[in-house]
Amino acid sequence: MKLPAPVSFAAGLVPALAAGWLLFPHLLYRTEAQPLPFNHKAHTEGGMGCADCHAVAENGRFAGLPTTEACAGCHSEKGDNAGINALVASYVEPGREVPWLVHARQPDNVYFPHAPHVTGDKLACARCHGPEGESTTARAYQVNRLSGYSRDIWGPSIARVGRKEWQGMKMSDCIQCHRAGGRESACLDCHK
Amino acid sequence: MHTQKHTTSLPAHRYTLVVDLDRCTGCGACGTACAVENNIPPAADKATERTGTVWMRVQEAAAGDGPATFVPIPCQQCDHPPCVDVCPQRAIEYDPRTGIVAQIPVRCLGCRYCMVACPYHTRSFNWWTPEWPEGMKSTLNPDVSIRTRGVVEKCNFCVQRLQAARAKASAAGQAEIDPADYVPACVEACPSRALSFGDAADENGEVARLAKDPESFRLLAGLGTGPKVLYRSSDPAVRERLSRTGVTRG
Amino acid sequence: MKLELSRRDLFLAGGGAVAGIALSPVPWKLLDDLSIWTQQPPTPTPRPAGPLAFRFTSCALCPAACGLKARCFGAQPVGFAAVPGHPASDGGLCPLGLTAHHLATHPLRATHTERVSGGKRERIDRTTAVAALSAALAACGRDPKRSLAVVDGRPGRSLSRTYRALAAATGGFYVTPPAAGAAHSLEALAKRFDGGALALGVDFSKACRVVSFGTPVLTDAGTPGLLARLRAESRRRPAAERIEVIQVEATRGRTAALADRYVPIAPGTEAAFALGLAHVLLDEKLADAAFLEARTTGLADFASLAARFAPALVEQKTGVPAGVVTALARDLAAHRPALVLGGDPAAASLSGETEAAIAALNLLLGAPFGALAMRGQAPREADGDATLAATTSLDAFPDGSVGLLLVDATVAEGLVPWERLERVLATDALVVSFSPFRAGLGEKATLLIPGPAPLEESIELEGPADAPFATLAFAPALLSPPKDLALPEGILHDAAEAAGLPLPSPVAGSRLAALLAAKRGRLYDPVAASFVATGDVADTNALGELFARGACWVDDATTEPKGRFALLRDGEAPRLLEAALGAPSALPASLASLPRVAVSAAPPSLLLTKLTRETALFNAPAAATARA
Repeated sequence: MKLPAPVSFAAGLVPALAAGWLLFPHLLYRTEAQPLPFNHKAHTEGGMGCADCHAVAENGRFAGLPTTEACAGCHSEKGDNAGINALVASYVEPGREVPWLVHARQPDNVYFPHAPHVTGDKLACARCHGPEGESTTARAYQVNRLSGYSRDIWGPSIARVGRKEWQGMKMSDCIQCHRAGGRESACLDCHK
Repeated sequence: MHTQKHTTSLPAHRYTLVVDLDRCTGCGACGTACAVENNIPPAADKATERTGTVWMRVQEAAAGDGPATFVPIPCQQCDHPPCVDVCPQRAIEYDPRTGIVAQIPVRCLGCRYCMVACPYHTRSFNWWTPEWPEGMKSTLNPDVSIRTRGVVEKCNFCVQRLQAARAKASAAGQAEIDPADYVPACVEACPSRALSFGDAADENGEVARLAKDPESFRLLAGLGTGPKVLYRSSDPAVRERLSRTGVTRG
Repeated sequence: MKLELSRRDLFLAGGGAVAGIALSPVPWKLLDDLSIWTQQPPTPTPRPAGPLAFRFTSCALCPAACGLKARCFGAQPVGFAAVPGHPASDGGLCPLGLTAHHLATHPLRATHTERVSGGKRERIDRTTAVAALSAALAACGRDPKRSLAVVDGRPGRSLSRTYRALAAATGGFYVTPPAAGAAHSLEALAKRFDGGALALGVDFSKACRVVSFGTPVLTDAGTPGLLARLRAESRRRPAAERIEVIQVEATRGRTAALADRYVPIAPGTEAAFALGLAHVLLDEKLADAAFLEARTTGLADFASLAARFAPALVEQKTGVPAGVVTALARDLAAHRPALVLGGDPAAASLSGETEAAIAALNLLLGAPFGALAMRGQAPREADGDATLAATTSLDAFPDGSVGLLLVDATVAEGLVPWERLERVLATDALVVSFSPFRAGLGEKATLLIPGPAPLEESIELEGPADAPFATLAFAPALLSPPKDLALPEGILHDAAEAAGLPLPSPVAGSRLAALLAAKRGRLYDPVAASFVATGDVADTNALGELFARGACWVDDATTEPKGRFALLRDGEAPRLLEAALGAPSALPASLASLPRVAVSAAPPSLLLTKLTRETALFNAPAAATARA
């Protein structure tokens, strides 16, 4: 029996759609584990805020992730927590920096200054980084095999639909917020 | 991509470099400091004066009768830049808030039309992949991104220092930067203090005063590019010659 | 029923697949990701190695000792700026200093002891190096025909004391390179003073006319940019107050190109030219009579010598038109203070006779104690009880008499050429270099015991000998040296002990104590950008802390001593006459090269190929070519 044209067409269309929408995102990202199981909530419950480890310095530069030395300020000895023990054994004692996989990492030519956003406009950290402070473990790092950046930059949805305001850190996401606030920028405001 | 007027109330700046030709000895400190600050690599084996990557050119002006004149020529940061008009990629942008002509290498496709358009020959093309000896890589400046082969690059008045000054002002809750925080690398390095830097839009500032001084002039003034590099010389012959002819490259 | 598939189905399915892909995120996401991928250069932009901080130190790459402001991320300097107001440099800096942080990782850097045997370079360990050195030391002690000679490029340090002790213990020689360039001709002038030891420095801020016989005063000599800046600043003053530079040299160098006047002269005829100027000054009664009367001896003899050098004769000898000679002399007299300098640090020294003529000219113009300022010396530790060899020169001992030559890391091949050192070596002599580079004299050594690279150690740094004020800094380190680097001082002590020549251990902080005890001068604190008097510093700890943040000590003005300068020394007149009238000896012109590389003991950073290849400002650097 001969297949009707639409059926033949669909025989190509449907698998392609499935591959494109389901298989492709699965293949595009590779999952890597963070070096340590960091529990944000345990730290914030103890009374710490974002700025205790991720602060804007007086010269306007952002501290980024805390150094091993900063962590060692409280965690310099082993105890009964496996995560702390791993920190002490692998990083504090040998004096190495923890090779965190940074979700918010942007390309080299991007210049994002925290100072005007955080100190100046008083944006909440969660506005761009999501409820990271409430996480109980370091999320697995899904990295785009082609570009080398975290899935967080594009956002979890491959079609970029249904995004919460902190999901996605593409240039278009920054521009959208800037335009909404009437703060148009020149190239060199955000590039270096 | 096109610039739009900035809608917040920051006043516009017109950053200007002032070059005193009486003081320049052609020592090359400015070009060296520029290369260190902006991650410009050592010369490729086949590089020449024309093909090398040099953001701050220092050349001997064609000889007149008197003593030699050395002229440092960075991008002139024109107010009417010919390069912006010709770029098919819109990889060059004039920022009306600062007057800086931004070169965005990641947008560049390497057609070099801007190099043809620039009458000052201050643009460089990366003919070879920028390479550093292994040990030198740790000395690179994290504040400036490294360019690939095949794109054009040029001086942008050490805009990374302006960015740092702005971040510092934000952290301190100030609307305007402290001018002492924004000094390009070449200006900081010049041993005879031939280079100074300031905001021409500041009516009470030094640059505005010098702009009106009869010893000040601009290169190729008649072209209408509106360069924001102000040259000074106590020798009227030098002023007349350079403002008329500029300085060719290589 | 059997399924009949035809090509049409295939094409339709293909079309469906294409449509499906197009309606999926694949092409759009791939485009986005691939474009990001193409924008990544092979060399990634580094992340900051730590928080941003500014640190101050001094550059030790050439004698100018400029102040440095380092921009550092964590412990890594990424760039430098000049330090205006610094007592040694007042905002001076040059391409060498700007790239100083590249030298620790220079391809020619050595981090392990090496020996050259049979023409091949091999790595050896510390024990072997100490053994070789101690064997050679012991041999020196025994055999008078194979003595020890040490060449120290920066005397006055604690390491210098170790060298002097070693020389004394073995009956050997402790040599410091002679002053170079203008400093050498100033020394020649100072030696004519009968009122005790005198040191003169150049104070350009007090000069109205600067006559230079080959000294690159506007470029490579002294603090970078200083005279160029002072001259430019003076141009906006009334004509009578403007500084002018007159360059007298055979080949038109960079300073000649920039000078207000360039006087081309037949090579080797500087003495005749200087005497010609002296002739006009005396003949037309334009010399500084008051100074000559009060501060010189031998005027009558000198005048009769100068009388022979009428402008016409000078024109014959030097090629300079008579009218130019007369006009210049009149101009110098009319625009005092005037001073005369001679000698290029990167080329051979001027002859003694030429320096005599230049000295006489300075005296006729009344330069000493004005534009040629009297200066002191930075306080040093007293020798005390230790037996330390006195300073001598390479000419003091016979050729072929040195069995062990120690060359400090601070000796630049441009100032002490290898050919000159080679002459003093006995057969199978051991040549030891403490340079951190396999370059210059470090390359010529048979035993290389590399010390720390520039910026890796705190350096006791006196300013240039011809600066108007003595300065001293303990330039702090900015980088950490390799962990297993053997420090020269330690190796010397071990080797000396093994050879049965125990050396006194260095006492930490003794030079700081000497500085405090001298109660002179003040310290510039670059962090505060202000001065503090030495007397106001509490103790050596406080002084050490000041230096550790990049401070620089500068001397007070010295009171003028009583005494007179000899216009002519005993027996000098006939020699001077002969040299000036005789056939000129061609002086080798210094090759235009990267500024200051010839007087630096370190090779230039590879980044400076940007200056040699991508500009027309300099010729490619030649190998060090100063000739004795």
